[in-house]
Amino acid sequence: MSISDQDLMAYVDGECDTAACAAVEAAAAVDPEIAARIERQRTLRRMIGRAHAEVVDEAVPERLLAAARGGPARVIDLAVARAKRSGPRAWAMVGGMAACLAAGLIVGQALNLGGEPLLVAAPAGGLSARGGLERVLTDQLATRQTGQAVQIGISFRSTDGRYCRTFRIRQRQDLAGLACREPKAWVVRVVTATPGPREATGMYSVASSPLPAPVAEMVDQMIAGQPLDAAGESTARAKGWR
Amino acid sequence: MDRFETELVELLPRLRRFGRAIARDIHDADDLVQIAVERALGRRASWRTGTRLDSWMFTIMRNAWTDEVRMRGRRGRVVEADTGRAAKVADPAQASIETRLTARAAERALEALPEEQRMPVALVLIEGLSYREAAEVLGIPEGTLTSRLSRGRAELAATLLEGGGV
Repeated sequence: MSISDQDLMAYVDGECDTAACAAVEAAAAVDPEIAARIERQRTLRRMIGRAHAEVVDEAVPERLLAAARGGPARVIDLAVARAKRSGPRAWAMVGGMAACLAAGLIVGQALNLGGEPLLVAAPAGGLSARGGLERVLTDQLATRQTGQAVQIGISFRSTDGRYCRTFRIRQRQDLAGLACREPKAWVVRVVTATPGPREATGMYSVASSPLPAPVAEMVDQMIAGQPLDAAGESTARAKGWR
Repeated sequence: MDRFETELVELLPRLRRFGRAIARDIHDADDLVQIAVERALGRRASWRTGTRLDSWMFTIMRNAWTDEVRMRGRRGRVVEADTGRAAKVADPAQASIETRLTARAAERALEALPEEQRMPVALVLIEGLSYREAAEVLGIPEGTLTSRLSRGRAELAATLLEGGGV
């Protein structure tokens, strides 16, 4: 079965209707060449998506701020303006510090995969996803996973309007956690080592991998409504989880 | 500041990003943002509350850029490579060298695209607009948008991905 470039593009962008998406997925399942084309399109999406990313984090020039306020230039504190832009910080930092504490206990055991770091300390405190973990959080749909080392559990919209996803890193010592999309990175809100299979404790669980209690509790606290279904995930991914 | 102004201020970082994608020169990009912001405040009565302010602002920027290009006859202007682009990375410790190199390569490839492909790519792949929203911003049918997007991507893939093509 042949899939046109436009169909493939629509699929990668989350713009295909259910039937068209299903056709692409069915074709990819039996044809490694189509699967490879999808992967290339995703790589390209990711690369282009990062273009000019640094300007988003820069301080906005005073003249633009003044123009947007519709008045003559006023003296303002740029640091304050930056803090405002990046949203409710204090709360995020508390979660971040908790994540640091948890991670500190298990650091050295499981924070990298194949020599590639998965978590890095963020300057404001907390941990950001990197490498394979960042890629999986950004690109992987929960419904389409094979046996890779980093797995997605559920994805949901938080009460403060961010997209969050639970993940599991399978290694000698399994790790499970929850990361939310911040402007610059996936920030890990909680991460915990899981000694082995255990009962699901939260409301939300995935059949093959129950969420450990600390993660499930964080999900229960943060979730707005229901977890995203496959279509919701696909749409959120297409919008860069923003 | 009222709500409209607050939202506008919050949008500025993204407007600057879109500005860089379309104007290619960082000074032009910020000028474009400023012009668009001034125009937006001048005609804020025509913005319907509840609709997306980002799409509305991108539309104004696109129109302002068209006017600008027409006025200055810039279409043929050669953009100097990397002028003023000693990339101010907000957090050098966080952005690995590889990430920066990848971003820079993507920016160069984007710059090389003709404008009619660059804008759809910027709106959909960088700003995350849906096909419908991007087509509205550009004032073109959705089919035209997807074909330009597809051609732009093929170019980008040829430049950026090993083995070229899509």
